[in-house]
Amino acid sequence: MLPVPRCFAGLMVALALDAAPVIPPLRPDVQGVFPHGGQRGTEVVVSIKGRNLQNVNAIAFATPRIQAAILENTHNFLKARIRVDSAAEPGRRDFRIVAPQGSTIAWFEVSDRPESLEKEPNNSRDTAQAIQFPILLNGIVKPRDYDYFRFEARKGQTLTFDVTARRNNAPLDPTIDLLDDKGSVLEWCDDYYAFKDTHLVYTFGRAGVYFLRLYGTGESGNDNGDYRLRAGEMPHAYYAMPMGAPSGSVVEFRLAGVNLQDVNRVVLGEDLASGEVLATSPTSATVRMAIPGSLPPGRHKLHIDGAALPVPFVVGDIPQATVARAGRQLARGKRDPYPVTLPVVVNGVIDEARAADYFSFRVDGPETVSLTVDSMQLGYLLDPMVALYDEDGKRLAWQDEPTTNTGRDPSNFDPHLVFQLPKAGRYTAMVRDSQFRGDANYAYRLTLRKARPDFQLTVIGTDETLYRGVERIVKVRVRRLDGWNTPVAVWAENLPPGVTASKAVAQPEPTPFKNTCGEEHLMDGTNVELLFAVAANAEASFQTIRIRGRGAMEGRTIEREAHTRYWWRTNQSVRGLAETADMRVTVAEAPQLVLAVPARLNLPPKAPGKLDVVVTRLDSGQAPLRIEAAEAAEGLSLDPADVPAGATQAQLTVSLAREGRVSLVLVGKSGGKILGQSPPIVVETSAKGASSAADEN
Amino acid sequence: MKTELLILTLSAPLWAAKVSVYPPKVELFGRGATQVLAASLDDEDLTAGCSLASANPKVVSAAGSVLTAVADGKTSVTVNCKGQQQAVPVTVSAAGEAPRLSFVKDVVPIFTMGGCAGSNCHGSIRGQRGFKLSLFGYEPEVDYEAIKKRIDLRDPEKSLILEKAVFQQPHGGGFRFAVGSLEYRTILNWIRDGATYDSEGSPRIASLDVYPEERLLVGVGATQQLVATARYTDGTVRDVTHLVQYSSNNADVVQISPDGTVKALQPGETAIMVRTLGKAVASRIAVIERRASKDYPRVPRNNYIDEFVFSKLHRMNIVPSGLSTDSQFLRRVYLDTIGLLPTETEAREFLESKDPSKRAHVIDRLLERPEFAEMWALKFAELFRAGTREAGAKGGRIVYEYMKRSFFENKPWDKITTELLLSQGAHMFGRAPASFYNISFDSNAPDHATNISQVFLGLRIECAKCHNHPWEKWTQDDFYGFAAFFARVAIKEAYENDENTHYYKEEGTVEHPRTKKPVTPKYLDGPEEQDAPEKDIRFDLARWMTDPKNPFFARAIVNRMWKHYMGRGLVEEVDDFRVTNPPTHPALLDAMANDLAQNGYDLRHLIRAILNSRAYQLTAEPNESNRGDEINYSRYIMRRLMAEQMLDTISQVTGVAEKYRGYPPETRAMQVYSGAPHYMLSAFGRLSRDIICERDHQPDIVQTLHLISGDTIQKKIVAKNSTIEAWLKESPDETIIDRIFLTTLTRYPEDAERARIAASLGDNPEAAKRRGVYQDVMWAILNSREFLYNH
Repeated sequence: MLPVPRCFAGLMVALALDAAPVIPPLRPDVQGVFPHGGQRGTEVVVSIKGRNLQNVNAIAFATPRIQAAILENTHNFLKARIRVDSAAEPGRRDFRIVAPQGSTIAWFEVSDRPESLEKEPNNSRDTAQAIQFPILLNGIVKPRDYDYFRFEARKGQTLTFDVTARRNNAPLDPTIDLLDDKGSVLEWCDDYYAFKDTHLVYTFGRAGVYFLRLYGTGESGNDNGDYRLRAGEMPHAYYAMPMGAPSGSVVEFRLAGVNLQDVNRVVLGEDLASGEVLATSPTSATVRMAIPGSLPPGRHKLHIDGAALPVPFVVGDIPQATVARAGRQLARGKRDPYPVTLPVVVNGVIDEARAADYFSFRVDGPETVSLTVDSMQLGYLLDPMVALYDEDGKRLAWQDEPTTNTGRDPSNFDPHLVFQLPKAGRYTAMVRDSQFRGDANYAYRLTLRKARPDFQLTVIGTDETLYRGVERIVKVRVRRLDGWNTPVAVWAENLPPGVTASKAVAQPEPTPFKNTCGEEHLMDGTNVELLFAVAANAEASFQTIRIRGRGAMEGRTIEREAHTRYWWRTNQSVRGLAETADMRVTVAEAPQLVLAVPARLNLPPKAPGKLDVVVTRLDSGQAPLRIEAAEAAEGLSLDPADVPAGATQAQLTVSLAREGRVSLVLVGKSGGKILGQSPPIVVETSAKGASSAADEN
Repeated sequence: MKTELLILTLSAPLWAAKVSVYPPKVELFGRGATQVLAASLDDEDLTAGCSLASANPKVVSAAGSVLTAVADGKTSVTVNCKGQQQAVPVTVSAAGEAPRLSFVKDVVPIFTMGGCAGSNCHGSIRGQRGFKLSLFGYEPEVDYEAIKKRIDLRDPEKSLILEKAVFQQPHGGGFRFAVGSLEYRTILNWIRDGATYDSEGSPRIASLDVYPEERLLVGVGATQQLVATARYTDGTVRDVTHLVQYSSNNADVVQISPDGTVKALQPGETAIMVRTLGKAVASRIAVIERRASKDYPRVPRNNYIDEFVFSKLHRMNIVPSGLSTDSQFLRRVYLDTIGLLPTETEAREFLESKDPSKRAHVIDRLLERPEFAEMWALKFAELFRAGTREAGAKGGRIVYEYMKRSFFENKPWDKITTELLLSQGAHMFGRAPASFYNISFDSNAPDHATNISQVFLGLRIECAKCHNHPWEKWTQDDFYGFAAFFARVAIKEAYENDENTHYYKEEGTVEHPRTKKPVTPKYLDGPEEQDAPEKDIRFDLARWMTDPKNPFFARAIVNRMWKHYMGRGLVEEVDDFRVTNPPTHPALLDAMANDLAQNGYDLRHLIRAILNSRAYQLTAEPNESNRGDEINYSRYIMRRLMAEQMLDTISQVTGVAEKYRGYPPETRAMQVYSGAPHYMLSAFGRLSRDIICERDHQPDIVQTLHLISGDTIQKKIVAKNSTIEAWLKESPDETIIDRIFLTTLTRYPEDAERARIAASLGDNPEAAKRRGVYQDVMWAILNSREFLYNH
């Protein structure tokens, strides 16, 4: 049984009202990728399942170090060969599937170790697949499917089990159980990461044979529910401490985690810098690294040879301090706060429940300061909150999250508190988990500085299809930082020929919204809409556009470019920044008719069934629409339906005279002219009776 | 005084038990003030047979068992009983003044005593015929507003309130008291005095006591005089024996008269509830036919639990059943402790062992088993309603696994409770029971107060959410004071995928629905606690709850554990502790609670004590003496297996596992933490978890039909991978018969059973026939009471 969101009904209504498109999406829709990654320096043949894949003409990665060639494609299936350069940076990489009706984004993970595949049948302990560590295994969990893996462990051996599924947008909510040789559950993990993927570190008390059971929570699963299991006695680092460094500096950082005793190579990003390993132990490794002065501020990843996952590393431009030392926490006392001088980035870990870190600083007069915590946005599960105290310990201000979850917009749970200190003196800043939790990997970076007003721009979605003669709205979020309080002008540039876009001004007033419970909230920013208009004769094209914003405050004029954010299909939510900031736009001919149908129709044996069709008619015609089979498959009969102008639904009677399956394509005609056709529908007879499936292949 | 003592001493034989008188001294205040004197010898009430003699009738007069104030002064009254004399000092003050009648102290109690303010009359939520009184007079100011509309100051006798009560006007409640009665005169005089409400700050009732709190009546027809005493906020004390309402919890056992005289009707135990002015107390009354004779058997004691249980049985003249057989004990302790049956090997080893300590050893081993932890994890997951809201099965599993781990590690109960009270975090992540508070849509404080008081303190205070508690002392102020501890427990959406999390928010209060003002947190029966920014007041609450001096906490868990193993709570229902629902063995409850607290809230220590007691190990077979006893643990109380025990043991003995929707293969029912719809589990009492509720273990026809004709047993017996199939391949007939009985009933077959099965088998070596016979035997056993019940 899958959990139901607290305010699910409200969410669904909001989605239904907000997401109703004028033209149903006809661009490629990716529902599954298998395998979802490959080792660098190898070629991998990947199967992509989805819809509207028949006209895909290119697969493009953001990095030139990965190339893809299409081997075959149909409406719901595409096979491609992906070649990964040996110098490609490990990690999840964006790729676009490009077709005349638009492009869409998907993910592929580059790994640095050999990969293997799950071998069915492995649905019980008796048929468990034997594995040896370390391993990176790709598998699929279907509904009510269990994947068992048999392995041996030594006494005292610490093994890491990490499953990536939802983080790659796979429709699988995985659970793992660790079983002893008699089948008793020793340990388990369901949700570990924010997107429900699992992670388990276990030290075995005795040598023996064990089993790993991997399945969909509550026996959920999906034909496209792929996972990548990383397991073994591999290094696994929670964080680097400090979690970043100024560019041009030489930094010594400590990796904290498990199985770190043999770490011998640490690389920043795509070979941006290589670290010298100074010392190691099972739970830590000390590394010295020179950060190139040419690196602009930004987020990167530290890759540890052989590790399950990289850890984030931020290149910044202001001095930093570290309060989480090996075996010591330097900032735990409210009465004895850790002294810092502004501006500063403090690196810490809230490693115990009810713990908080305190920092004292001085201002020489009235001053507006900002306290910004980066944690959740770096991938950690700390839900940070900050507070500010005066010299007497009186709390002046606090903030949990700037914006609660809207249900569909980018939320931000890392606090950003701006406060005007009234006078010179010593003040104390505090960071803790808002739920008073603590964990070894609740790492954070607190930026404490005099406010420097600025703004950011983000766009939800990475790809847009613009139809000739049709207008389209793109929403842009302007987030004001450090007390920015003047308007920001927003516009789009590098538009395709025949496309124009309105400009907009984001006033310094937060946009109100209702969350999924219908409660009124304010965003920590302002949403503006850019209206894209496409000329009727605009040329078909596919190109990159940029959305920019400009504002002036306190004599400074600042211009920023919007960064695109992913739109995740599996949970209808927004998560993280795309690998590249820009948006890809396709200009295409608008369809006259879209017939939305289920991918599959199961019929009872020798009996008719009903086929529901959602009709979107865009030809402005007033004559009825006739829907019928494009061609008659053997044994298939379908009663045509006449749909009056303005109607949006039709139901057709279908029967299949024989056992088996056939493909059915519907065609819509009006006034003797074919307006459009449906994607293929798999019609089959099934003893279970009539049913249809919209999202399966 | 010296003379009186001398008389008493001389007149009483040295070896005779001493008559006791209640109250031991009397203070009368005001003209006509009265006091009932009760006298007793051991358990025998002598009141009716005693005579009273006032040493100074000008100060106090004596009539029957009642003393009446005459004039100010000090004197004594001699009580003559059974040849003994007892002097009771008496002080009379303010006898010259006609005390102004108090609405609260004098008038309101009349409506309680008369039954008018009961929940089935004018004290009901809607009142009766437009006349609404507060329940048992807990809100006198409300009662005053209602009553004053029904009085006639110009012609007091024509007041509706009087005419209805004496039935001079049609009255749905009928005749309540007579014209000229004390009640009538009190109300009439109060009206004549102006029918005013008491002045600001006038005394209110502080407490109500009843004497005796406990009494054993020997023989049908035996009586006991109750004495009710009210203590007021100004420190005064008043005999209100004639001003309270009495009711018997079991009118078949004793009868109670309006003047407080209890009369035994038949052997049994019950409580007399005494109520006035929103206060309620109880007197526990037991009736036996005759006292135990010298032939009463000496019953061995294994530990302190036996001392309490068997002492009471002796007092009640009930002879306990004998000790269970090894076979009965082993099967019972396995089912009660781990929810499974002993395996064939475990049964053989135990039955053949000559170790005199083998019962204690097996108890120790079972308490270490993971199945022990799973059973309690499931019971608490059900009580916590885990998995019922949006956290679903994910949240349910986290709570279940937390409790399982806690029981497996033998985490002290106070620590578990504290961790649960302080729990917060994302519902579906981590190992902490973050969804513990996830029981209501908006995570509201009243719901938390209701659930936590019920589960951890054994107190059902929910009624007081809307009105003062009808059966108990809890008021709305108490309820919202307790709820205020959870005012800052809140829910928010966390992460970017609509996950919810519980957290302790920075600000928050609970508003009193009547005053519309924020309520200060207040412990039940305790002081207020001040909240403050950056303070988590739940720490204070956890400290208060788990303090060994807390009157509710240890008793509540002791009672819950006791009920699980002994079949009946010392307090029933198990989470309904209240003054008017007293425990059957209060001293035992106190002793176990004290033992638990003194041993660091070690639940295994408590369970070990219960399981090692002879009381637990008695046979379930009744004897002539205890056949009618249902509440004194004079024999093991048979009960149907809980749904999960039943399904797991059926799976265990047939060797065919059940599959639960959403759960991996090999999962046992006791491991199904939430969800997984299953017909048999529902039919046998698994709860939906919509509310906190105890399971009903009563058998019904649906269950019987399912066992007989449903597919659960049948499919498993005939399955190709069943134990019978395995035995057929490897064992001779004699062994198979033994194995069937040992695995299902933990005993060897009796000769008659063995012979009958052998006859069915005949000499036919044909596998199909043998298979059929064994399947039939297995089917018959699985449908027998001996299998379906723990005994």
